[in-house]
Amino acid sequence: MLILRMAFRNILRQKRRTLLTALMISGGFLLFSLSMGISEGTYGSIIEMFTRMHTGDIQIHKNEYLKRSSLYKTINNSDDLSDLLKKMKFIKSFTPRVYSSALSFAGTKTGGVMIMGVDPAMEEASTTLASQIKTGEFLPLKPSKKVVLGKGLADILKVKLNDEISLIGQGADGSIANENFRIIGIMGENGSSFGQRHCFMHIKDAQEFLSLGLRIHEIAIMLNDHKEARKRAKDIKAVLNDKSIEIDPWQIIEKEFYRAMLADRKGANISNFIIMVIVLMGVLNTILMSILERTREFGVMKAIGASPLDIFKLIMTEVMLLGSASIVIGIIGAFAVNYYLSIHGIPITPIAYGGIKFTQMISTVDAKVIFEPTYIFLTAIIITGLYPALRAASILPIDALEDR
Amino acid sequence: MKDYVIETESLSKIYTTGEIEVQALSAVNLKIQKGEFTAIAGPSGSGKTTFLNLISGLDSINSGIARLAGKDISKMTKKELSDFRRDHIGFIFQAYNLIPVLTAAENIEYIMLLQNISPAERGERTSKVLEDVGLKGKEDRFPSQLSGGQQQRVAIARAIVSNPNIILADEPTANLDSETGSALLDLMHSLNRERGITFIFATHDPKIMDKSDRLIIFKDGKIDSDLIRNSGVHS
Repeated sequence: MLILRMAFRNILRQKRRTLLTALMISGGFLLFSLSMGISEGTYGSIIEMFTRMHTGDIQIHKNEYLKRSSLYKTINNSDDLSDLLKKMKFIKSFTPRVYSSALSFAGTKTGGVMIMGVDPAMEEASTTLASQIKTGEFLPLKPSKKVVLGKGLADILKVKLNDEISLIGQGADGSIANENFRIIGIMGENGSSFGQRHCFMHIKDAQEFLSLGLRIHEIAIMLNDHKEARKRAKDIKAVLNDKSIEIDPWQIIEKEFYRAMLADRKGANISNFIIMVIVLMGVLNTILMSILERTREFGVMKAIGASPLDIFKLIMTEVMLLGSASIVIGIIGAFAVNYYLSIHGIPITPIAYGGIKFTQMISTVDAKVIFEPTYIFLTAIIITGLYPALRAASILPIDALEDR
Repeated sequence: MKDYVIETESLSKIYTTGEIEVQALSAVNLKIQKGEFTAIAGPSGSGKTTFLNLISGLDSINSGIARLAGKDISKMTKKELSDFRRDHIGFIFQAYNLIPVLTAAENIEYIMLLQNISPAERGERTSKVLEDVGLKGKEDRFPSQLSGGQQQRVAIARAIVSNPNIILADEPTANLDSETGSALLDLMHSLNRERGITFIFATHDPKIMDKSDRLIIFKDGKIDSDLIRNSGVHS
């Protein structure tokens, strides 16, 4: 207790300097935590938007489909897979899909189109696709030869609601697929660049149009916790135990987006590193100054019998006290600011990222944005304190006493 | 056989500053018995403080031997030296050198903390020694709240509380007025007489020289004279 009292009084000897150092540590901690909070919060929000928009957290395809998609690379036992997926408690929902490219006609206009056959009920339970309708409505629950067009495609074909378009494509049985469909909805931008050249139709209509029978190309899965995507993909793979299919988390499916996100995070890490270096230089300066001023005192302590370890322990106790108190203030500040920004966000000029437009950066308050900076700051401050503490411990008493 | 607390044989010290060598102490042979109240006097630069620094292990010996309580301090490691100082030597400095962030009681307690003495015993011994040096009621005062004489009393209390074999006092009265200096000298003298603590002073103060059992005069790093006024040994 005497050492603790001694350390406490020592750090209060130069109150202004201690206050400035504490503010530097607390401020650095707050910035570090805020940077992490905004990174976690904004990316969490983007990932949520991204996966909920259409990708899902995990997707199941026929082997090699992702590398080179083909009408013929189909999942043939989707009913069996569905039964198994329904039993997995960590899965919130899933939705089957069919894809193919085709040529569309409306009057004298033509355009290439990506057909996406979806189950409207399952899709609505899983993704926000339906909410992206700009005009009209989403697909009816039963197959009815009705389609929703992406706005980009609608503009090319110069069509509007209730107009009819013709689609020509290739059927899986080798036949020429040819059918007319009525437009019941136009999918607008609504913060997304996805689906601009898509033609969405009921999965049954798509299977019939493409002569696929009950075969599908994709199952998109939503998890209760999107952060578990990698782990759950492995779990599903183990349960399904089907070598003809591949099961991938969104990080594999949307590689480009994921890489861009990681690169951006690296940038944030560099900023955090710079903040840390500035803070640590301040801490080092303070402790070194404090030791220089007390050289004679250390000489006396050593003369009366204090060992180098006793001096080392005293300095490290001072470092720990100053660091801990500053970090506690930093935690309170970081919690308050992160909490405020997790609700109100920071409005920004809308920018597109990974095909998604977002208009604000939001923060998050979780264990990671509080505990990780705490652990990093405390460790770094302790390491910074080692040099001055060792220096003080190695002072020769005679040199200190005689101011040599 | 006489019980010597300090024995030196050809103890020498040379300081080197750049290319200049200064012989601070030259082949000093000295034996001091347990319980002596000894004053080392001499002009500035005669080697008084250097002698105290060498026999306490604060400074390194160039040549010769210094035995303190029978142990050759030149053969001790730094750790052994700090432990030895803690357990066997008490220091009283001219500038008091109390730890400014500790109260009078805590300054005294600190050395016992280094000796791993239990808090209860520390408290008991601190109260007793503060009473002995006439500072009862001043336990919670910081050095800045005490007069020079009171600070030196705390320094004396700090020096004796660990029951050392010897107390080395370097100009203990130099910063004090005559009256306070005399009072402190009486205090140290009574501690010597009553407890048998060996005191060695490096001093210019005639009062200390007058009161000492033995007066050793240093000149140019050598013993110029060694005057023993009485046996100097008190049981």
